[in-house]
Amino acid sequence: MGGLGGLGGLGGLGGLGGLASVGGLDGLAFANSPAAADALIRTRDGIAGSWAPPTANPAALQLEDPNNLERWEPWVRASVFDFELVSKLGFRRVGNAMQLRHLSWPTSGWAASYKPFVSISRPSVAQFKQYLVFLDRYADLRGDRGSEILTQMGGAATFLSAIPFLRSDRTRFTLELIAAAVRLANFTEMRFKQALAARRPMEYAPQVQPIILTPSHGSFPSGHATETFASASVLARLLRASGTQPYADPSWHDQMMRLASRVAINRTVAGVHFPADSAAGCCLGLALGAYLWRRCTGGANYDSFAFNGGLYPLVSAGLAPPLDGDFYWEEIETTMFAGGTAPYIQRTGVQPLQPSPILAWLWAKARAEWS
Amino acid sequence: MPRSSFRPRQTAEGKGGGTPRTRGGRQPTRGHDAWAAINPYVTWALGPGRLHFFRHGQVEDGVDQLPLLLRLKPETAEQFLDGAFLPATIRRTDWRKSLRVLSRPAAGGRERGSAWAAVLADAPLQQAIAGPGLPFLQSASLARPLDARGYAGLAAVAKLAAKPRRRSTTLGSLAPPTVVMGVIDDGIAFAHQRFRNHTGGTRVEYCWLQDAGVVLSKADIDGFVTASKGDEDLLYRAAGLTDFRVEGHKSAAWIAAHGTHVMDLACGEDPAKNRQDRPTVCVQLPEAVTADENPGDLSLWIALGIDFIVARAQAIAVARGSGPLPVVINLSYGLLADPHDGTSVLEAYIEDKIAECQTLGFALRVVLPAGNSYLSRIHARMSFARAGQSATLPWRTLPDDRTPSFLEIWLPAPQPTQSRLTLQVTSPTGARMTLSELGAPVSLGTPNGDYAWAYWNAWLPSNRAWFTVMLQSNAEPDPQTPIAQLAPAGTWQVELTYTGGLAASDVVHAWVRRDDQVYGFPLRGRQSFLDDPRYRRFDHAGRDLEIDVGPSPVSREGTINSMATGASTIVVGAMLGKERLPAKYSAAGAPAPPPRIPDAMIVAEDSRVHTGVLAAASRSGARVAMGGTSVAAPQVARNVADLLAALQLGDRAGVQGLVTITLPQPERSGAGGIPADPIVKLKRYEWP
Repeated sequence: MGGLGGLGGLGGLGGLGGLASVGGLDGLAFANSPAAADALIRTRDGIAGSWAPPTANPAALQLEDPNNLERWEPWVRASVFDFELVSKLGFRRVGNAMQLRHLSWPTSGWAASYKPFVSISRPSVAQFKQYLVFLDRYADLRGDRGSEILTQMGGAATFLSAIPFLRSDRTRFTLELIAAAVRLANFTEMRFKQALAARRPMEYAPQVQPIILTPSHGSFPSGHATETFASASVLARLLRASGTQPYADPSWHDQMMRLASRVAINRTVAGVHFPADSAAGCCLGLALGAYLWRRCTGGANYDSFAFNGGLYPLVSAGLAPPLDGDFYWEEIETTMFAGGTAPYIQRTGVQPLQPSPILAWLWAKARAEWS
Repeated sequence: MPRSSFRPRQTAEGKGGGTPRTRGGRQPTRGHDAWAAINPYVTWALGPGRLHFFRHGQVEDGVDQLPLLLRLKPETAEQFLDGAFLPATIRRTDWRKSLRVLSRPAAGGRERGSAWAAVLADAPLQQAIAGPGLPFLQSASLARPLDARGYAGLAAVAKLAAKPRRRSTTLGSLAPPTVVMGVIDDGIAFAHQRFRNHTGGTRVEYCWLQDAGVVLSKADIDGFVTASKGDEDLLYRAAGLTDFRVEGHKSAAWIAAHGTHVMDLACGEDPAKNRQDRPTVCVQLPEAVTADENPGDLSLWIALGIDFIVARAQAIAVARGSGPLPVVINLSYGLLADPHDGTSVLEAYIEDKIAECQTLGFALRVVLPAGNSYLSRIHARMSFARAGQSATLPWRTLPDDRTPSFLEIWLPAPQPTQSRLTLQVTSPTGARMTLSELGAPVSLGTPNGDYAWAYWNAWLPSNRAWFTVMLQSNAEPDPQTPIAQLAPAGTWQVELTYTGGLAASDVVHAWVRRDDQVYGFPLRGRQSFLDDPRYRRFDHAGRDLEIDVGPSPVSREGTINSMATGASTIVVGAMLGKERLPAKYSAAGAPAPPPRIPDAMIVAEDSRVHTGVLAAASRSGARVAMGGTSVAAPQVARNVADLLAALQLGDRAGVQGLVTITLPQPERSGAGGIPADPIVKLKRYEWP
């Protein structure tokens, strides 16, 4: 599962086959081994006796009941959440834009239809060449950011966990929710990367010389930006929804967004991303975070966006920040949700959404951990 | 005192050479040669040092403007400023546009009066100044050029200075007594919360970013703080302090930023105190000037910074309805060469400025660090008794040194017709050049070009003489800058042979120019040093020896910051807080002439193990430990401000009066140690 780099720090919850976080299993250490199976054969032979059909029956579990989710292991739930999310996504090329779509289905009958969600188009090679200057300038910070860059290679879970009190033994459903957000971001960003096929900075110039290996997937959008902004925005909304003081204060949201921004910029410092990649990743991540939140909370609709890479500011235009070609998360968030005017992002509409009992269950469990 | 008249160069033959060699590379033009008589570094910067002095892609001689800081002879200064020396081809209006008068000569023939001017000179003007203008000059330095944005900033500053001042009729004094704090440095995160009040916003009234060419007012800074909503990375990008589109190191983007730490020590405050009585003016020097020290290239920018701070301080005074306010400026920069007698260009400017402020009715105090080169082996002192006696200094340059290296030898008052010392420089590969006093410049070279030069000059301001040895870098500064002929790295033998005419008590000093790089900046220069086998570096236990022992001419004495030998500047050394000893790097003045030692020491290292002292890092809420005499000076600047606020003089005697801690080695510690009042009250260790 090479593309799931962002899950490394989450205590094995997102990965397949991990039992690590559950305590007290020492007595089951030999389960499913040949020695245990052989011993169990002998034991049953010794104690089971003649077959006596049972008299009482267990109650049947409810069909298609989200409450059954609690019975399964985390990795099983993860697969269910992934299916729930990814099965409602579509992808299509429209001209030079790649469009992520949401499958909207009626409450009865078969007629489902795709609605726009996030559309992204790629900056030109000439634009990317201009943005190379940032890779040279930001390289100046490598001495300062080296330890962060290396610790953030696998994703920012450690850093996100330093803001609210996240721990697998205290907030396991919150961590499952965040992991679901990260996997959603990952599936989506990889599909975009495949379609947009943007070259990495080091393919443009021999002087970039990144300090970590350049990952072998497309540069635009940035995976770190997408995943960190998606998980940060879901977490910020969860904390606010808990109703618990002090999470009502906007500073929780601000710190987590600043963290996501720093993680994204560190990728430019490292030499593996252009600032425009981080901008597209930020936009996609924030859109996915808002979408996931709506799906979890029974929202009637979600917002769709378009990111036009061709309109990302040129360095040669010589404009002042935030229109100088560098990455500014505040501009992007404000344009998406608060009427800002970044020229490269548009809100394209409000689209219908249907409830998801499965995701609502997860959200409720996570929220309860903060109340 | 006749100067050496410039004659065409004599060139020494290289080893094994005998045939006249053609000199490749660019010949300096006549205009440049004329500079050699007053400042050979100008000749160097416009000639063989061009590719180091001007950044790749920057302005070039004859194409655009060069900044100069000129010290004018007072008796003819007015004529010079009027343009009496200009040829007919240069219009007076163009001259006035490129000229900024920093001070006019004092009326009434005050002995120490000088006139100072900053000039942005294009090629014809450079020729004019170096030709007919030369007799009007006492000294001149060429400043590191900026790009167009920086020059636009000069115009903005000049406009600010020219604004008519609102004359307040009720010139009272303010309560509590107000002192304006000035900080000139690099990496000043001016919007840091330690420089703000909870009520009323920032205490920084003005901030001049010399590279970006922008003067920010308090309103601008408060506006940036509000707009960025706590995201200080965004704030400094928007304000132009850290613009990632431009080349160069951005100190304020790093967490440990020198200027921010220094400014916190000088005038940082808990925002809850809402202090109104320490308005601050700061100047961010050009990055190129901090990155590589090239001879003289920071004098103009610092001088303009001082001029700016003093002018803005008096504008603040008028705005507050007060009489003139005292100003304390902290300048935590240090150099190594220059005459060490208070007459270097910048020192002279500072002395004159202090005197001028005095006549205008307010105090200007300038605080400098003593310097960190005590153990760097950059100074030697020699005396001569018999004719024929010689002294040899092994001058060692390190390989992969991408900047040039310079050595200066300073002598007492020159004789009009007699040479007392003959300088002989032998390269690591055996090539040799010889120069006597009063002689014309010499060089070493190959058919590709010259790589070493030696000059002799008279130094008018203090009636001395000096040799300069200049070495080309031994590695190219960057791949796009090919140097015609690199110098060899290794040990250069610099030998002085005495031929009579000195007194037995005369001391000849040699200093190596500074060539290291500041923390955070890309590695380019490497500090060369005097590698004398008789110099004892370590004691019997292997520790750095902190006293001069033995017969070596290389000396720890006299390593003081060469900008800090003026009569009025306050100079501070660094001590260890716990051990109550001088920090091992804290430099020494010389008790024998020139008689300038630091005034006092203060804690710059909490202990030998807990290095540095804690103060602000570049983002609000963050702190970092940093040491060096750079962090000693601002603490005393704070003390000086407190003395001035208490209506005391706050001068060198006042600072010495704050001393309560006895320290050894007065040539390093001055009057002794001043008790530190740490701004961060955290104890880094558990003993009392």
